[in-house]
Amino acid sequence: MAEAEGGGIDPMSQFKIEPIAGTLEQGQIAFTNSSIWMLLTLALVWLFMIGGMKRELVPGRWQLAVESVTGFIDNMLTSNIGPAGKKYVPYIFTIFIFILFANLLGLLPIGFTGIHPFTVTSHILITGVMAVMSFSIVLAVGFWKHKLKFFTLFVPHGTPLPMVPLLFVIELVSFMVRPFSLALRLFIAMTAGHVLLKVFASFVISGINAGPEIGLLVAVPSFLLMLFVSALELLICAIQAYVFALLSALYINDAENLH
Amino acid sequence: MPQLDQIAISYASQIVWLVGVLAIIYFGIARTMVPKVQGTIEARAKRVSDDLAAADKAHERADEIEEDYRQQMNEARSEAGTVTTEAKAKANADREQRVAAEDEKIAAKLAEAETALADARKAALAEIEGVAVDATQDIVTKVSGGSVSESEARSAVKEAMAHG
Repeated sequence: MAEAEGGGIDPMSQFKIEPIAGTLEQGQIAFTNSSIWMLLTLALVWLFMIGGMKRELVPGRWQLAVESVTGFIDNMLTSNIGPAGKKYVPYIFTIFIFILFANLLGLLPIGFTGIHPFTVTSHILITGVMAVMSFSIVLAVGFWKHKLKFFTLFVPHGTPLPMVPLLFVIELVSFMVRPFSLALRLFIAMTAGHVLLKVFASFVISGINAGPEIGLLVAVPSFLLMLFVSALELLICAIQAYVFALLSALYINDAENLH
Repeated sequence: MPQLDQIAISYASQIVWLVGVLAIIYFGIARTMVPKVQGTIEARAKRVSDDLAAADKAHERADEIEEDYRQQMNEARSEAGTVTTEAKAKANADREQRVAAEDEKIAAKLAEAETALADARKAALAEIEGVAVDATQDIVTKVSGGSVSESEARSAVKEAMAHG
């Protein structure tokens, strides 16, 4: 996107947060390009949901799409947590739909107009906050429902007594790693995909600039690869949103039902 | 990597905007619109199952009506059969009676005719006898010149007629 020093194209500059109003300083709240794309995500989610509010007996395509999304979340929670999972539908729905739409908006091919799409979910801060939210819900529900018995989560059934301390430590570590893995997975997937796309895009541009022979040899295959990777990225957008929601649901299941 | 380099300067704005947007989605959409959408789905599922149950009921009712109809049809058919056989039997009996009566009449007439015939035959025979006796007397007188009494002639005639 932006030309970095040395004439090359810096594939990382697309993740840069630019202030639009206010200054980007420590402890300052600024209106940034990230904020714009979050608001766009919100607007798109709202528009999408409005289409499902016709509440007709025989649904149209749009209403059916909205109903399948809510039904999908509902089904995921009831099948993983059981009837108690119903009360987590709003939360899981929120993170799922936000991640999905933010991911998809980040892939909008509008770079040639001068508007640079910004992928909100490619920032570890964003994914981290959401992971912490899920983890906090797990802790809160776990300790609220089971009090100190929640610690038995770290001791699998049928563990021989001498193994209990060791297993407790291992399970505790794997439990504490959960928010990091949750946050890193989405952050890395989004970042890597966009870097890859940008690298191929820079190949296309450089290839064209280098003359027709190299252009044919480099730019065309790179462009074809970009097409393929874009399709793959669309899939990854949905999969990452699904994985985040599903893992949150599974972690909440641990808190809700212990073992 | 801006994601890491800018954490220190952008954490506040990112977190505030994220939490704000998520809160709006959570309270404005996930807690208000999603239940309505699910309500629509449930209402539809209920409607469909209700309709199916109603259809089942209607089907059962139709079966019942058909069964009734069949039963009535069978009853009517068997009734018609009995009526027909009765009528047939009655007609048969009637006919037989009448035929018998006619037979009787005919037999009486026949008997009457037979007796009349027998009488006529007897009379005819008697007449023939009388004529034969006269003829015998005449023939005897003419042939032999003697005379035969009427009673002699009569017994001779009778004998001759009895021998055919």
